[in-house]
Amino acid sequence: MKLPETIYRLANVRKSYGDFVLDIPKLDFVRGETCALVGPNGSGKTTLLRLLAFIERPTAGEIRFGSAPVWNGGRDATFFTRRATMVAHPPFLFNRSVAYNIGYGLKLRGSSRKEIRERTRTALEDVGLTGLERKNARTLSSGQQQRAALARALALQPEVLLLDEPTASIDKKYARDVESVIRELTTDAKTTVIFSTHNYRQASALAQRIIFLSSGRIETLPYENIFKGTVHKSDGKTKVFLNDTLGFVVASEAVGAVHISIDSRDIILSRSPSTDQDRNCHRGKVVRMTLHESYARVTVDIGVRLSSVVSEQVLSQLQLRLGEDVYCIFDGGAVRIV
Amino acid sequence: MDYLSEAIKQSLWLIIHFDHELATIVWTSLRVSLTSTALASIVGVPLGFIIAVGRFKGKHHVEVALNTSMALPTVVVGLTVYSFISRRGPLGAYGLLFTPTAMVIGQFILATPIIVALSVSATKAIDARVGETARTLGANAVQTAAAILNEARYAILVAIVAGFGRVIAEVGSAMILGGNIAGYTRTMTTAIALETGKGEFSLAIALGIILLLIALSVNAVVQSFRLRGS
Repeated sequence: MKLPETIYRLANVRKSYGDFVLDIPKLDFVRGETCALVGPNGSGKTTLLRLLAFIERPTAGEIRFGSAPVWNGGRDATFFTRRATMVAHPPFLFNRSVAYNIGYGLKLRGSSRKEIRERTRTALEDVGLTGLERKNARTLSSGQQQRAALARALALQPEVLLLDEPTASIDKKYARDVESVIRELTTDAKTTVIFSTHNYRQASALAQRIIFLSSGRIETLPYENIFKGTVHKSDGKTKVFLNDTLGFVVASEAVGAVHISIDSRDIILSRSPSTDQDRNCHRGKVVRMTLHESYARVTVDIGVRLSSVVSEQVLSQLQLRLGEDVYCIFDGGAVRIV
Repeated sequence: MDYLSEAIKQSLWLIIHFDHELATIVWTSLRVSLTSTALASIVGVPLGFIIAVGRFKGKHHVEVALNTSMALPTVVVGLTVYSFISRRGPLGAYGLLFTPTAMVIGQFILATPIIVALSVSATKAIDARVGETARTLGANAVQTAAAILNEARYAILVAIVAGFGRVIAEVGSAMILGGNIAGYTRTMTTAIALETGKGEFSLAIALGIILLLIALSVNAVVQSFRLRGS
């Protein structure tokens, strides 16, 4: 398996705004991964995205993009800004037509008129805004503006797409369109997508990695594999059912609708099923594998996507390949009600 | 009152028949004022942008000075430029006095503070996210500035039109620097002053009507831009 390339490397990064301080001792992003930033308002999600979009300069520390230091590295700012594009929330559109807005970045990059026209059309199709090319962007509804801003970023086909609450002001129907755009980019694995959200379900459904932020710091024990379900008794066991067929044994007395989280380190991957009837054991297909320095993150589709962290040693023992079947085994105690 | 109605009739006749003298005066006025406004715009719009976005010591004082100089008396500008370009002045050797170029210099000095000051206001009124958005889409410093000015385009046009309105209607500087030479430096305002002094009202009224029409058109354009901008 090819070792993935680190696209961002943050070291001792601090950004201060009055009393607020975003403090990130170390954080890496891998090329092609989809990562969600989750946290309450004021936790530093937008500030982190703005640092990654090179709009803000850190007060201290170093950000590297690829292998190049972003600030004081002697490179022109456009070298970086033309590779990472951010869609702000609320988005800002120029007081011109939708087509002008979408073509703006391409024009800066010297794209031909034909290419601008084609990419504009495709991007508008992707976000469900076909036919609105000539409309003044400011006359669009807030949801349409958000989708137009996303289309403007998509048209550029950047290496990194930074999305600040991409579905925050969009109707449910169109939010699904936006989610499917992100999912496509994830499957494609050419674009690194980093998005912020308040929505755990959305984060766990779309992202391979979730970073939890709180008061400007990264939470060391983040919730992972978050799902919504209902607790029922079944075969004498307490289970949380995510849908009609898929249920996990849970060691809890909770009842009714709950959110659960399963620590990715508690999920064991195995080629053979568990003999212990009391453990959760679900067969699924490997849909993604990402190598980090000393561990690998493997995503398995068992009806929902479970992310498991395994050591390099275990990974080489299992000889896993994408698309292969594998068993996810974890105790009821690993299923935490959150 | 007969002389007045007769003068109005004759002035209309001059306008309808596109009198040669009248046309020459109007053309000279437009040529000088449009040139000075164009030059003042080339200098004033970027300068206004730099003052608006720049952070430097004394910025507030610069803005106060600009707003004050919007009301520069035209005769004072005429007198100052005259002292530089008259035969005994430091630029006397260039023979600029009583030429359209001298008038353009005077009007440039009158129009520039207006265009700069209004461009400063226009740029400041633009949402800070314009520049940020342009940068995140890959714009360099110049392209970002262009994006901000593009967003402020209606207000910038208002600034330019206001500058033009100031110079097309001024008489003091044009009279002192141009010398009101027939067919060469005689403009609508200097001609009106001269013809009125001679008691020849028909040409003066015809020019007055045209000047008012120009002022009306300028205001209509400004109003239309303001509406589009909002």
